[in-house]
Amino acid sequence: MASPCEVHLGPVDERTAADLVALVAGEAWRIEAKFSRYRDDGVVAEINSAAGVPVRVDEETARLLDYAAELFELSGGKFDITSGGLRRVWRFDGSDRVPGADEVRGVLRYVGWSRVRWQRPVITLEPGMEVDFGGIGKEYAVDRAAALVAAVTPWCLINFGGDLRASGPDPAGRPWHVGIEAVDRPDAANRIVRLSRGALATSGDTRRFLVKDGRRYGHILDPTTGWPVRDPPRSVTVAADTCTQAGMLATLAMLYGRDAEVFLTAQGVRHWCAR
Amino acid sequence: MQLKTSTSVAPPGGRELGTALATATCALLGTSAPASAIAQDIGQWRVDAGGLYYSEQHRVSDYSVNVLARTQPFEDRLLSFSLSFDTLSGSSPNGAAPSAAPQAFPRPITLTSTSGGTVATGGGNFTVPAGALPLDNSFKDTRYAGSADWQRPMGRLGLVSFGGSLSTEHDYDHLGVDAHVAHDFNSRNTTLSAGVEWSDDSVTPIGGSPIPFTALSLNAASIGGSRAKHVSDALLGVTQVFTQHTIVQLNYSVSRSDGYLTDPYKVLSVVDPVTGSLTPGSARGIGLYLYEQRPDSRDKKSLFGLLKHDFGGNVLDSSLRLMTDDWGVRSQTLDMHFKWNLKTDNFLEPHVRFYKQTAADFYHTVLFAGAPLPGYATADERLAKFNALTVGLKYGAKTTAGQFAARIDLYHQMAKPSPDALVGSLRGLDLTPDLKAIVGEISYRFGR
Repeated sequence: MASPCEVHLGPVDERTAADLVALVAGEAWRIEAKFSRYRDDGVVAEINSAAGVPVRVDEETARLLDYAAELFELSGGKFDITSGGLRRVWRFDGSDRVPGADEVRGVLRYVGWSRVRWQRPVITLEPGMEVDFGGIGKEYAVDRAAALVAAVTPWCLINFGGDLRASGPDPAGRPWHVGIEAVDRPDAANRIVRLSRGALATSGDTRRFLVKDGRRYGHILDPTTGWPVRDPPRSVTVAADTCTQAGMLATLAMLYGRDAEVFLTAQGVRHWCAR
Repeated sequence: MQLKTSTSVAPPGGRELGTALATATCALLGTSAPASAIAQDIGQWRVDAGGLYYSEQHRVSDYSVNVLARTQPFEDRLLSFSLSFDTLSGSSPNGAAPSAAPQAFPRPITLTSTSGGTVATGGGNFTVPAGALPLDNSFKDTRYAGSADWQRPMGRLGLVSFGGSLSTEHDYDHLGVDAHVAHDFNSRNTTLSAGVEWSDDSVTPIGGSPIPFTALSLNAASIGGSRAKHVSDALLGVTQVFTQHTIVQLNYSVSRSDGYLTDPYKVLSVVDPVTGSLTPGSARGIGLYLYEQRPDSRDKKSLFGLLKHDFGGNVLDSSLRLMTDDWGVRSQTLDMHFKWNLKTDNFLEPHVRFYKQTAADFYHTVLFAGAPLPGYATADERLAKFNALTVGLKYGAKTTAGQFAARIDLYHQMAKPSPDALVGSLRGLDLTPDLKAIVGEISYRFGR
């Protein structure tokens, strides 16, 4: 998951705790191995390297693709698992190498879920296109792991790199205390959220950007334009029933740029935006 | 360069997206709708509000309202404020002993609180039937109090807190400050704590502070102005986690009070050492009552032990306090609470408390005519030998918006007169009638 993963448990004996940690780690590694775009033996590599040839996927991958399709519709194309193609011209390395308009237009030909043929359980990408579950995978893994632990103990908090889910407060009814990192002071929490049940997920624009002519280009790219979203919050944290929902809402909020707060308020979810 | 931006596209409205997202997520995770999230900001203020009613049978009643507000402005920092207001009225023993004959007392001052302030009116007598404990029914007071506390970590395992308190009523003002530190050891299973407290109080008796051992009369000489009182406390404690279910705490504290510790409104009856009848005073029809006098310092030492045990979610909390002071008062307090969860969202908590103390060396139920005056003397029942029992019950429930609690405590105090007071006609009287009181409290904590 490329980030620290934690399992916090209420009172259980040592052996149960060790078993649960192993269970969670196993699920995290399984999902990472299967869906990471950095692995050439996973399902993502299989789909992306098919070069126009239809690929039949398993049930779990099909559910993730259905979900991605639904999110694409709901977001008017802003949430798009094929947007990874834009990375060919956008490299957020702190330099001033902002691509030209024609470069962006060129690469946009390889972006767009509407160009994908998805007929469960078969997916066909146009050559040069790619899919990436990076925007869903971690939150999905948290929810999956939480479900596995919840079958054993009701008091658990799973935290994969800041995206987390609590299945319930501890036996005394005390909520979990979760710190939200200050954007300008990593490792220091500037807010504490008491989470009795549910999930928190954070989407951020903190460290990856380009600067040219005094303008900052954040790494949140709008796949409908190919350009970075203008004026996104530096960080958005959303509370929702599941980590996947929280993560999607945080990601969508970033994509709405300066309207992030308007979007989240309209959704009626508890959220924390830092600008 | 022209940047295309997305801000011209209005965000999708309303909660339709949220509902669709929730449905899609359930399908993805293969689950039914999960329980709703409960998340709350810690930076928010948490407010507890409560009302308390205290009533002594045939004596004083007190109503108070309290508000406590707490917040964590930063991680690990805790700031709290409390405000309270209470009003006391009714009858309070004036120190004089019951007598076989009716008694009359001058009423030097009657205190009346009005919206414009406190009005003091004087004059007249009040009478007490034979055998009854003399009570002065003119007690009326209003007190405002506030406090603030700030707590922060000190290193990774330490905690330090500072506090201040203020209160005012028309004859008493209090200013207090305190500081406490705590440090965890032994994988956080042991906590050592230390604290100091200091208060600067000022007593401004209505009608001045009487000259000790002068007779109560309508125009008794008194010393005007305020009298100072200081209290310093120091505490050392250790808390040990023994098992996952058991915590033990031991505290040792010392306290020193200096200054005006005398109760300006209390007197002692002067009686005949053989017959027990009241000595006549200078005014016609009024007996001889002398104002009390206490030492101007008091040193207390106390040892407090607490055992907390969790019986599968039901918690027994029992404590014992042993106190001794240089006034000759030694006390023992045994206090037990048992928090019994009825369901996950409500509990019952029975409470029982035993208290026992010896009398102060200078406690005298009465003074004797013709005998030399002691250096110090008081007939205040609170410094007599007594036992007290409290039994109570608390009920607490979580609501959707907060936590509600109600409790009722019944208090029964049984005091003993000083042995030398059992002379003549006093032998047949109940010189220290039992005190019964009831405490009712309702509180509400906003937020879960």
